Amino acid sequence: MRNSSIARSIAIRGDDLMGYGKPDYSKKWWFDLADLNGDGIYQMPGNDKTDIF
Amino acid sequence: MSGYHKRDPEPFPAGKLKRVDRPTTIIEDDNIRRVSQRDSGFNKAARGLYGPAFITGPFGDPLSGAESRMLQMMRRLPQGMVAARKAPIPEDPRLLSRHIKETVYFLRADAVGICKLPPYAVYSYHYDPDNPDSPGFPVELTHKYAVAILIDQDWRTASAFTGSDWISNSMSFLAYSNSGFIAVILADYIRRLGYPARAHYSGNYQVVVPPILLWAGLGEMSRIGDIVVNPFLGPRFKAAVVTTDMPLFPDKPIDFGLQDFCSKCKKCARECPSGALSYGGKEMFNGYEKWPVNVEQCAKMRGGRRNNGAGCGTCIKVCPWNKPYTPFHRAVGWAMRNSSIARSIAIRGDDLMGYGKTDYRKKWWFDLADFKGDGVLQIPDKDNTNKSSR
Repeated sequence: MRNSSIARSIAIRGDDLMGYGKPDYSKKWWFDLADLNGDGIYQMPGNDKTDIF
Repeated sequence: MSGYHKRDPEPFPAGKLKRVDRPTTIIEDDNIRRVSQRDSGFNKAARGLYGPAFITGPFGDPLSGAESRMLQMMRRLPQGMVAARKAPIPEDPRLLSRHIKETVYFLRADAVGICKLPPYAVYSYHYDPDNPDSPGFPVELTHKYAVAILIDQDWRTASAFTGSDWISNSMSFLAYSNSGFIAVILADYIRRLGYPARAHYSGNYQVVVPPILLWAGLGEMSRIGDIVVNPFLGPRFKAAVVTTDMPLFPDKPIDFGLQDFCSKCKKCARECPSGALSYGGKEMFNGYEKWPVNVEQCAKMRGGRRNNGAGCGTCIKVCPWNKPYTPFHRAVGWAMRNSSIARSIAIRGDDLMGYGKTDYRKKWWFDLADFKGDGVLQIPDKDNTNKSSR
């Protein structure tokens, strides 16, 4: 890609075809938490569809 | 089981190591007396017990000076308020342990392990550097668990330095400051989740690190005195610790053949410029089985101002476990972990292949020091490593 225009064009099409850029939820390791009221207490935002447990 | 639980999060294959119920060196849990932090080698030097030449500190070179200044700035950050209510996360210790490890790797650690905090690993008194003649502050630390964080001191630099030249302290302080940075963030994060936590890092330890590393499965005791060797990093790391009451699932200690290896190798004792390391066998000291080390000679070598270097990590450099993580060394490491014959061959091969010698082509730093403490950097007169400066 750094050295060939044709390779760049192929890579651009291939990137979508290979599914890059989509979230891989199997690799998610964090909790979806936020301090919603600014009181130092962390809650789940309520719209979490990707929890790890 | 979700994909998350099947994926191996660790940079090194720690999950494939042989796990054992207890560390491979004897630890008499009931006979260990808690020690005061002021009795460590560096703090004894700072208190003048090894003579006036060793009080001033080793930070004559500019890079380790900058790194240690960052550590100074972090000194006030080990603890803080705990959230008034626990976050709505599961209390499954296995899941929390995995999450904590992933968090530590996200923060760019090189290895992490978890153990129950042994009460004897807590210092009796915390050293007060601002008041070195006082006994310090009594330490009351009752957290149940310890998370140990390792940072690599950099293979490329380790292969380029002599072991005791001007980059030596910077390698230590790179790993001290980075592991401290991670520990401070991790402890803060755990407190935000609603659990007590404290960070322990260079200049701010309330725990003795080696027994924690042993119980957390991050290494075995080595011939290099009180140094734990990791099977993938060798002795080329520094550690910080976070203690907490968050329910965690402890790792088990590891056995990768190091006791057999160190009993045969002795390369660190042979190469130690201060003669502080022993050629002999292990001894019992305060309930720990370990190879003896002359702490005063080691601390003087590392802490004193010299004309040809700052600090010393010769034992780290020459240890045959100090290798890059290349396919070849991974294969050799696997053999060393699993075969006594392979260990014997590796010990001879290490010298034959020239490992442990200085590769000046990889040198990237300047040899500079502030000899008078006036902020003016000079090229050392007796520098023995300038010949390849680029």
